[in-house]
Amino acid sequence: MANLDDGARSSAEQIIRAEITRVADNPSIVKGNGCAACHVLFRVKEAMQVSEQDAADLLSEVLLDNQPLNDEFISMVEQIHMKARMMGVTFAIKSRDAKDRYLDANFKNTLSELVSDASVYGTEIALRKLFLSHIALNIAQNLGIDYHAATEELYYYMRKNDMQTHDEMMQSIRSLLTKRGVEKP
Amino acid sequence: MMQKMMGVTFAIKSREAKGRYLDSQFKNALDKLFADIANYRVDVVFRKLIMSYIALEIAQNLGIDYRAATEELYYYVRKRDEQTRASLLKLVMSIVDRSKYRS
Repeated sequence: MANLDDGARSSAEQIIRAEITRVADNPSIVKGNGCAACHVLFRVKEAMQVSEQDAADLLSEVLLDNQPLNDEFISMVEQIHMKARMMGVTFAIKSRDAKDRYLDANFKNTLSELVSDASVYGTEIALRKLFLSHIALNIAQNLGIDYHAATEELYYYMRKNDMQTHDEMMQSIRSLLTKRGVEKP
Repeated sequence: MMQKMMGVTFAIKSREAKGRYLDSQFKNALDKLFADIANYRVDVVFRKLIMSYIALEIAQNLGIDYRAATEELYYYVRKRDEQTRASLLKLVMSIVDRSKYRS
């Protein structure tokens, strides 16, 4: 693990700011359906000669400490992923306040749904839902297919190997729930 | 997949090969979670699962890609660091405390 001191953060901040400006001036730098956030992340990684994990830590810490840069970063992501690709435009054209309210509602609703699942159906069912969504997402990303198709492939496989997948899943869930050590709120 | 030209290298495999691929994906994903459980605190593993789940919900609701949804979510979380951290921890505690394995 690299030494992520103040000097490293300051250098990372300059690289991130310069790259955001570069992408804003010439969006074609992010090729095809590439990811704008990953583009900046890999620029930090290459320029600072650190691992991907360290670059991700630096990016996250710099953006956490610098709200104006955080705003510029998300504007760049929206410009590339939404406006230029005509996806989620009704969200992209909202004011930042309205977007934040929307995200706030989504965040709180999802947490409430999970609490409700845990109390109505039980902890294991709520966790099974999270695990399956995580695995389907991995499959979708690895295969480059949409999430719905990945979910169906996963369910097909699980139906075919019902007992075995159930046992493996329950073992993971048990191991997570029996582990001690949760940071107290 | 075939009509939309997505994941064609997977779609043209035999059903058996697809089954083997899914089997390895399923086991790998669970193994990675096992490793996370062994190396980090419970709330860290929960946080990873829950954040990915919320980003997925945002992506589906807005019709945007998962990466953009993740960045929107992290932007929001960075802006409300303490508040979102407390909400997530509260949820984790509430789920963990309900478990029959923690009595």
